[in-house]
Amino acid sequence: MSLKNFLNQGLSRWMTGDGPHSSVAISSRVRLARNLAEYPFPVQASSSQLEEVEQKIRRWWNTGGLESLGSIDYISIKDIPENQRLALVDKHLISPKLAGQQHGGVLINKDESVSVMINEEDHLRIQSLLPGSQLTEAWNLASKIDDLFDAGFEYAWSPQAGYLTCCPTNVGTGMRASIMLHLPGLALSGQQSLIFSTISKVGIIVRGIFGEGSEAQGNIFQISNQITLGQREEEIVESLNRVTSQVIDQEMEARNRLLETENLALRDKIWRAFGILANARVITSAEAMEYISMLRLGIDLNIIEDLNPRILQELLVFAQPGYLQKIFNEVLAPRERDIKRADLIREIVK
Amino acid sequence: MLCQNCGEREARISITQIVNNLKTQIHLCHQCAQQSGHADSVSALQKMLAGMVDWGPQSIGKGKTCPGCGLSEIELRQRGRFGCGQCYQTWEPLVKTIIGRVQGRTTHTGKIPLSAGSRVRAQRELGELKDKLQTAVKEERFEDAARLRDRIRGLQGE
Repeated sequence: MSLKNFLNQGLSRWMTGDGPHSSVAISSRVRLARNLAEYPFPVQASSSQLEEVEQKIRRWWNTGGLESLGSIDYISIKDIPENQRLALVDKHLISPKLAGQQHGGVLINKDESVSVMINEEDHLRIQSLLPGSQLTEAWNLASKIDDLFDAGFEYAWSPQAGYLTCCPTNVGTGMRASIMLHLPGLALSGQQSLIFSTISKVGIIVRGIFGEGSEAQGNIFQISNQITLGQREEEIVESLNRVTSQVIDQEMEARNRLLETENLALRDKIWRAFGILANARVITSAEAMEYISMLRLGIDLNIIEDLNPRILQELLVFAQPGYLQKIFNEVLAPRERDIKRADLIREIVK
Repeated sequence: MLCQNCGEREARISITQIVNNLKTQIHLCHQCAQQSGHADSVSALQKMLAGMVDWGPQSIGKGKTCPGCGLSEIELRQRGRFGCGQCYQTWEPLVKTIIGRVQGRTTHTGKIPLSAGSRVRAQRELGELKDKLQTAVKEERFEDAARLRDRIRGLQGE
């Protein structure tokens, strides 16, 4: 199988590059933290209790508890080889914490838009992950899955505090909704601070995904809710949607301004990025992210043609250490990774 | 500047968050940021921030353990994590203070699970209707108010 075919098979739905506002919004995610009433939370549960929780959920899945969602697989963490676990982390399907959990498991549907982690910090972490700006859809999907579990298990819940979670930062709705945005226009025109000031909204947080200092690596930012209690889920989603659409408008304006006022400099920057990615023999993750961001901007602005905009999502995942080791099926030292990463990028950019 | 998590290595990554117009920054080294994981790093950040929450004076209810899971109060304060659903009752006043500090509010208004039953749902609806009734009266929308009053009576009668 060619490398490209292999990689195409590894695409999660969120990586497809579809969805509304996909030139800026990469993906939308909602996760719900839930616990079963009759067991201590994973941090306090004994090994046998954790196993019981896993078995219980597994049996329930086996007897069709999630049937209405279509085909969905149950994977025990201990059955996944170490290097494949990190690849799941890179695809945002499991957390690094779950990857190290002895009695952990994960339910994943076919297009990987749904994953439910079992015995992470809470018994259940229900997650939906969609491409583009689709927080409302992601919430509806997560809530539907939640209803299915709710019909099969009794949740730890109180009228006052809502869904009871291990950490007080999740209590109430147990919901963390987040949207990943690519904002090169604002970054190039030195306006990142604009994003932060737009988000003066109560209980919303913004950060660079692979942030270093004040510059977010690859110009990728994540906006999410900080507060999980005292607001309805729909209100949380709505206020995130409002903020997101403002930020998207600002980004589009910034891109247009750059095209008008800095056209040559912008083209030069984009084509140089292309040149490096197409020819580098050794490249670090940070350097790759910087140029991939420019390349993607070039594609969005029709400066570079014949390249799929999805390249950003692909490299966001495939160029990560965990996924690289899966692709090349070996444990790689940092220097070797930089070499393999450059090989992979040349292949994709070709 | 040194990393605020391990206090050993040079901080290379700063995370800024704004809540209620209050800007907080934390500075981390590569390793700690990496360990916290990028896939779910928002929650990792929450966790770190939760670790910085002041859990109050050590003297309150010293020595108590949760009958539900055996978590001691000292463990609770050290970890900043609850051990089971019952912990929320066991340390009730403290829990309320902590949740208030972390979340800014203390009452859930979101989804209600099926297992919580219809009584909770009806109570929630009743509360919301009463709020609406008050607003309607204040705004002198008497027809709306009469309709709301009937619905409240209906619910109370059930």
